[in-house]
Amino acid sequence: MAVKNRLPAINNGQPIRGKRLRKHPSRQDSIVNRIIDGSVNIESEKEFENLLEIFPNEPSLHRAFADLLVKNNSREAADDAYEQSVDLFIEAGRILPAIVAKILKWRIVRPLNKEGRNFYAVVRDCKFIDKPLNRFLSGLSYHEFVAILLKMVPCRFLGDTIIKRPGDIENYLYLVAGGAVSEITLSRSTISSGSNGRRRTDLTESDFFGSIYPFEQEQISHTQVGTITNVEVVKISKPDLIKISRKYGDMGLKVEKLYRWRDESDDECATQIIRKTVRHQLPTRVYMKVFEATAGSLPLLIEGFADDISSGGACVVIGEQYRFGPPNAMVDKNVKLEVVLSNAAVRLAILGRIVWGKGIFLEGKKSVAIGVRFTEMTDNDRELLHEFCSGSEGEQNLIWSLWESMVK
Amino acid sequence: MKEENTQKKDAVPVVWAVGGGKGGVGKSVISTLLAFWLVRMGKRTILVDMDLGGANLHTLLGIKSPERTLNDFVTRRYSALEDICIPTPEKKLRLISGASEILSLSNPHFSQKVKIIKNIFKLDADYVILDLGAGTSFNVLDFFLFAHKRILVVTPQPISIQNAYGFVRNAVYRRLSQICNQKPSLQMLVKTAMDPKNDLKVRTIKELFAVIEESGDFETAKILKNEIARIKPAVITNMVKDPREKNAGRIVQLVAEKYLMLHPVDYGSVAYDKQIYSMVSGMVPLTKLNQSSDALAGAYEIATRLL
Repeated sequence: MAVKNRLPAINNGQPIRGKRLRKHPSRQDSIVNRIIDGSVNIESEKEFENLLEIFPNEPSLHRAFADLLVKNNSREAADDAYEQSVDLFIEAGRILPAIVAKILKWRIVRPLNKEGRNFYAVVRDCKFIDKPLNRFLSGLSYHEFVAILLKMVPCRFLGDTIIKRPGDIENYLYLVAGGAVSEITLSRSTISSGSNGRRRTDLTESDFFGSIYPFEQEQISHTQVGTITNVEVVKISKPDLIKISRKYGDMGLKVEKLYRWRDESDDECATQIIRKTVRHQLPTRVYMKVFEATAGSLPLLIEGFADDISSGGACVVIGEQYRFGPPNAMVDKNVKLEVVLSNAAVRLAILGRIVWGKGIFLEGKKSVAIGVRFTEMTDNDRELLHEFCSGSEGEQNLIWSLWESMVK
Repeated sequence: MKEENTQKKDAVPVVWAVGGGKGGVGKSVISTLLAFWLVRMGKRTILVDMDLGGANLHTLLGIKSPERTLNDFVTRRYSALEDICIPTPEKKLRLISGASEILSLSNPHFSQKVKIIKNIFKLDADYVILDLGAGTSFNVLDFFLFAHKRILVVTPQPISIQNAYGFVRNAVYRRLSQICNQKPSLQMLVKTAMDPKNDLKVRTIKELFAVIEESGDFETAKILKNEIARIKPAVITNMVKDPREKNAGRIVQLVAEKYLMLHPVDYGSVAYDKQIYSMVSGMVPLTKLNQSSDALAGAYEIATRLL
């Protein structure tokens, strides 16, 4: 397993353009999100499957699994996993990641015309997150949609990478499919005077950058765009867009609208106080007894915190002081968890099985994350856990965003 | 004079419930400070310790071992709540202690709960303040919901804000579920909507109402909307050390407005008071609190707004 830069995850909710993101989120970032964004790599298909059993509705996790399957030449399974992620992305109103997953799926097996039409219908009817790019994509005609998809080039950038510099010729429209980038705008006077009057905007999923409209003008970049996190973008070249708009007369107007909607949306955002932050899950104190297979041996007692907890399982992060060999040595062991919930006076007692283990770096320290699938708990504990886990990601995100902007 | 007394007995006391989800946010202290101000404004007040599993309000009032508690009422040793009220060092302030030796009372049966609620309204007082326990069990939520004024205490900590919001969220769904109990299909819909990852994709109360309206039941949707609007919690931010921390209550307000179609009112803040902290730790009654206490001043502002 490799540990890369720590990153905030793709936001499931409605990221807001124009606000600053934290570059180094605190430990409350979910382990699952770190797997999704690529900062923690899982290289075993079995471990991924175990993880997906715990978090079956996380589209990005299915997508990451599909990528792994492609890497391992399991093309048929990858095809299924991409399709699963497409469905879940669409359900969540996240059009662009759905399109990217679909493009990757179609790289495995070329689609039939009918499949293309079906996907177009799904995108058009999708209850999408209201962002200019989503409006643009869902408003295309079938032929425009296909033409655009054929010219989309998905690419990935590591964190702290410059994608576009001031002075570059604007030749691409970049659509952010995942991760976060910062766009620093320098006014002409700023460039010439070298002063520090700059405006920074953070862009996340379904935002876009690159100034390629009007098509007839050659434009020089006045912005520097760099990645804050590992990022997946989709780029479409200006010449390709020009060709499409020559073929389909409305395309130019639609691209113009896309930019206009973004400018209007920026104006609205300027009045908001909410900052987009990554998804957080409150760390929950966990005491764990790991039972050895050998009869008579005492269980290993471990204290840690659950970074992610659901009614099906938890990712538990434990300190390096618990030395028990490689992290995956714990896989398949039975455990008894005592979970200390903030909303309950009692500790929940849950039986489970370790399904994966990974070494990670957390706040600069070596730690181990293990995935536990719950096997048994009382109805009362189940109810308490459900209560603890209730509250949607959007609600949690908003609380944390407001906390950061209003109190912290 | 006789007429006045009769009038007092007939009048139903105004009930304030103080909740907040998380333990340790100062619900008991806030309840006590508000009670102090009510009695100083001439209101006959009764504090009720509804933390049935871990009652401690009596210690804040300097009462070591309450001679009568809610147990005595529930176990029928006394037939009226009025009979188990005990005096406190504050004139016009009485206490119903929840000090419980019967663990089962931490989770009273439905009939016990109804009996307590009915009798609260029979108390001879102008105001009754219910100091609710931590957590969001149905019982805590029910005591919160039946009060005239629903006070939510939050401290400037993310966990407290999350818990306070979770508390309100659960209260809303509890209320919806209660209203829909005669309509099983609707109740099922509400229960499904409570799960944030439900298959129906109903993520907010607004969406839930939309689903009900789509089914053509506009009347029910209207009733539910009105009921939810009536909850209107009064949010108090406690233990504030820095002006920015006063915004903690505002966060609960904003998130509840967006997701729950609820309009909590931010009633202000109470400053962190080292004196109170030491008094509580040292089991010194809050009746001895210095009158120049910032927390007491903050509580005065809130009490006058709540009246």
